[in-house]
Amino acid sequence: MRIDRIRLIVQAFCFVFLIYGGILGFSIGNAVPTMACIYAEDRGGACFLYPFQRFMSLPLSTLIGATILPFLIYLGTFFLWGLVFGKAFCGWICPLGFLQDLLTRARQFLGIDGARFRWASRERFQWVKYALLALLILIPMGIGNSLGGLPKLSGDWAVPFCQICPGKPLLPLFSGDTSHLLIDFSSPVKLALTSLLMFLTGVFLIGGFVKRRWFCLYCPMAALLSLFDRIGFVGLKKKGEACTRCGNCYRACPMEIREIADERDRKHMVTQDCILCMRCVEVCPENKALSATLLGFPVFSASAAGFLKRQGCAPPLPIEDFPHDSNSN
Amino acid sequence: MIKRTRYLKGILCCLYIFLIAPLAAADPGYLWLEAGPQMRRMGGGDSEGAMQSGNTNSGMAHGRPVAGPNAPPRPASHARQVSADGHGASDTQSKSPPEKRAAMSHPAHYTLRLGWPAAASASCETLLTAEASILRPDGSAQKLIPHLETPEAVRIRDAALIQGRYVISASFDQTTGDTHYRLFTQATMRNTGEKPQRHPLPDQKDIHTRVPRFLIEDLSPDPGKNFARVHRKYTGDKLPVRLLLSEAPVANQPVTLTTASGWRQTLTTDEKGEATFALIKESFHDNEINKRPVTYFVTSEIRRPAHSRQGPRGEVLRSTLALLVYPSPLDWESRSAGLYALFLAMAAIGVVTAIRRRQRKRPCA
Ligand code: SF4
Ligand code: SF4
Repeated sequence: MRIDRIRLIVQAFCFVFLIYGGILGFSIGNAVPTMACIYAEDRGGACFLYPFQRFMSLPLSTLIGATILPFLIYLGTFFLWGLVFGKAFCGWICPLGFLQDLLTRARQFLGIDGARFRWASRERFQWVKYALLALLILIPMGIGNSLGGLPKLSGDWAVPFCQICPGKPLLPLFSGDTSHLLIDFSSPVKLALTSLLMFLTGVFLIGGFVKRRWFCLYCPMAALLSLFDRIGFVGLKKKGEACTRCGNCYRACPMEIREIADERDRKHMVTQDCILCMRCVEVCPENKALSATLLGFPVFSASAAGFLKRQGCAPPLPIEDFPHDSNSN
Repeated sequence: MIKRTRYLKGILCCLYIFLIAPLAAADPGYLWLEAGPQMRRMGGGDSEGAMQSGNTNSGMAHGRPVAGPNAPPRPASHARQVSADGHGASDTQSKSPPEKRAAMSHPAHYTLRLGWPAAASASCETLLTAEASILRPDGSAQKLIPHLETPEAVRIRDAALIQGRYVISASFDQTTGDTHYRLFTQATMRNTGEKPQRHPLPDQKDIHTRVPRFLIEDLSPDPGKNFARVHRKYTGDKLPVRLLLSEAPVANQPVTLTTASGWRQTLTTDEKGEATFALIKESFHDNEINKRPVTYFVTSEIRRPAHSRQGPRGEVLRSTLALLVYPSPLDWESRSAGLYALFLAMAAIGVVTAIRRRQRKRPCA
């Protein structure tokens, strides 16, 4: 089976688990590094970012005093998840990623062409996810503390990223909850944040239909998970000498990562935008040029035979098995 | 007009404090449980997703909670508490074993109050003799010991570690002249924490049963598992209640809803002992939106002659259900505006994308 299909099945399973798992009493906790929205009522696990922002909004003395233990347990749980699965969360588990993949499939089904990022604009906006990450730490900190002598922010700024994350209105919809599709007029901050949320949700839906996985490029969770690109149990390795720079991997990559084809001298190929979908390994026609690894050991490697098989061709024959020309003797 | 009403309210308050209250001092009024500061910080029994915490005291059933977000440490002077049984101070900060606390849960933390709904009330030392208990979602129940948490507040607490609905009850007896007052109250809260089955049931033999128990039960349906917006009551919601006397429904009994500003509505219970109130909006927001909850009270009173010939001749049973009611978010939220904004954004981006594509596809001149 093609890795794409396997991934879709795993994603569907994870989606059902994360959105409806609570109905059967399953829960994998509230420190899961993926956009499993905490506002989904029947969730089987919830996004790390919500409690993280809540912790950050505590006065510093409380955070490093009375709450240090729960906070460290939280961070530790996140670290373990990240270490074991790393960016595989983005490619295989994330419900918002799954929604984007479904939109892409719907587009393909309708025969509409997708759009690609211009390399220049892609490079230009790389900083956005890190800026969002910094803001989701700094804004909550400004609620419980007076940063740099500035007045404390109002409670309307609480969990700022959740207030603009498209997961908040979209994922609860799957359990019939439409209560997050709204504009809040209670204060200028709320009005701005909820309007921005509705705008971003619109962009998410249309953008997901036009570009593959566009939202992941700006996702602060991806920025956090980048911490595990090198040390994570799941990896992606390249054998430069086997690579012919054919560009197959780049063309298949849902994140349009150029380095995967461009760089031959690099061994670890999990870049900041990689979602460990392993599509590149599948489409690479050169033996062992790319390998998915678990704890450093290859578990799935590119191969010419596999490539041809997936293309619907017969596998290449070994040289000695080539039919000999009877006239040659 | 508004100013005049305020003056009138002030005069009435003064009249109450200086004339009526001293005259009526003999009557203890009603007993109720008011959400403690830790719960109020988190929305009064509604976690708002907040994680938990706080400080500690002799009344808690599970040991010392670890303070959590939104729970600044209490001043050292408050760390020493006077326990209900008169054993003096207990330095719980240093001696209690650390409590295992689920990061997203919060404690049952209530102040016992005595007085008249929407008027004068107090949480005084006499309430240290009140009896209180908690019924947890796993079916376990435990006695809670009231303690003087601050000089003005007698409180009870349970760490409320496990997921689900908690029922907290309290009762207080007082005899004044010829009348024996039996005051009862009950509160419910929901919590998200660990799954119930992980905790063994504690020993339940110390649960008090003061007969007859006269209770007002909140029959609101379970709001689901979403701790981000659990168990809040909003203005405009319905509040179904049931009156129980010694666990039997009380029919044809008047039951009164009193809002924080004193507006009252009295209904009579049906044959099942039930009545349903509409939580009316007290007042509209003035200049700013006010999202703070206020306390509404449901009260009922039964007067009857005393059973025994000795002692007081009459018995008054009173029950209170105090609940936090939030202003309806419909005052400031608009779903239709949200949908319009969403579709507008989608349409705008869709049109821009289509135009750009068409421009790109146009053959060069
Ligand atoms: S598909 Fe394989 S050979 Fe082609 S560029 Fe990518 S890694 Fe190199
Ligand atoms: S580089 Fe490979 S594994 Fe990473 S996102 Fe692209 S195709 Fe998937």
